[in-house]
Amino acid sequence: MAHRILVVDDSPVVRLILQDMLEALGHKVVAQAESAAGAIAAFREGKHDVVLLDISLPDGEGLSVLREMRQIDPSARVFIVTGNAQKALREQAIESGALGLLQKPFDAKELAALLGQIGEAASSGAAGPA
Amino acid sequence: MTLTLAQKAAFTRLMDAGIRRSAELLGKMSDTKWGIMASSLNEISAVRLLSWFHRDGGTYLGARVASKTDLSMEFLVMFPDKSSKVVTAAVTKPHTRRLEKLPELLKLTIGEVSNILAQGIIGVVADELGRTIFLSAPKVISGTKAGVLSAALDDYDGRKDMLLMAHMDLYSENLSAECSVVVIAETESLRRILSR
Repeated sequence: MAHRILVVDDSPVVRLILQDMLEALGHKVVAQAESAAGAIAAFREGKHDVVLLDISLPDGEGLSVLREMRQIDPSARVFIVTGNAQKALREQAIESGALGLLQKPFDAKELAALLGQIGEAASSGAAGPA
Repeated sequence: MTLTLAQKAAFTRLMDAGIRRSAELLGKMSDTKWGIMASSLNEISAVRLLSWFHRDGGTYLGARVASKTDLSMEFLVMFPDKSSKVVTAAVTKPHTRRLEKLPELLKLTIGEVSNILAQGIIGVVADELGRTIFLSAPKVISGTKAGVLSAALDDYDGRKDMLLMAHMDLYSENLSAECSVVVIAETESLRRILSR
């Protein structure tokens, strides 16, 4: 299942690498943002169906942005992107409504598996991503 | 106030595990194996480290990344000029077509690589302490090793801040590249956290 993805990361290198990997997997990057404010603005435009959100942004924390996105749209499908694999962070991200964490440096198989979860959950009618 | 022997041993153990994790991450990013060439994990005085670094007059590109919590810890990750180019080429190779026109690709890539290396170490520290520790965005720097370290030390108060420093070197035979990581921890905040 191809997704329309909003990529949020302050590093243009990371955004372009993700775009390259996502397009190779058959998905489309429909919007990009490099800040918390830009992420919320792009999220409100609603072109996406999935968000890949960096945990650390120059004007705010990714978890706050995640919570705001979930307030705007409680069914928002957001994956946290981080170089920070700390166990406590993983728990906080899930508690805040993230579907999962994508660890830097990226692995195409992990990325495919994460996005594949959405399709599986939707087709099985399981709770989770709408 | 200084650390107890047990606290110093705990710090050394965390740095050792952290740098191994960072070497793995660097290997994954550059698609080749990285080893730990040398490490001084115990307390080193800033003067001694500066005098050691002064022997190397080469230009380095790297980044400063700092903890954003009550644990005052900062990471300096430095690649010699040639290594920064080799590492950037290795990391961006699978995506060259998309990245080649990006202005300042070298600086941006080394900033991101440095950030991920620092995350490797702080991740081990955070898991050991059972908490989350966020890091600042990388501030990319260029200069001699001694110059970069001096600039970082300027941010501390030499009269009251006691610093614990660790220095580690990573290398890759395949890429003929190396990288230095210096961890600067403010002793009082480290002592407070390690004694919890």
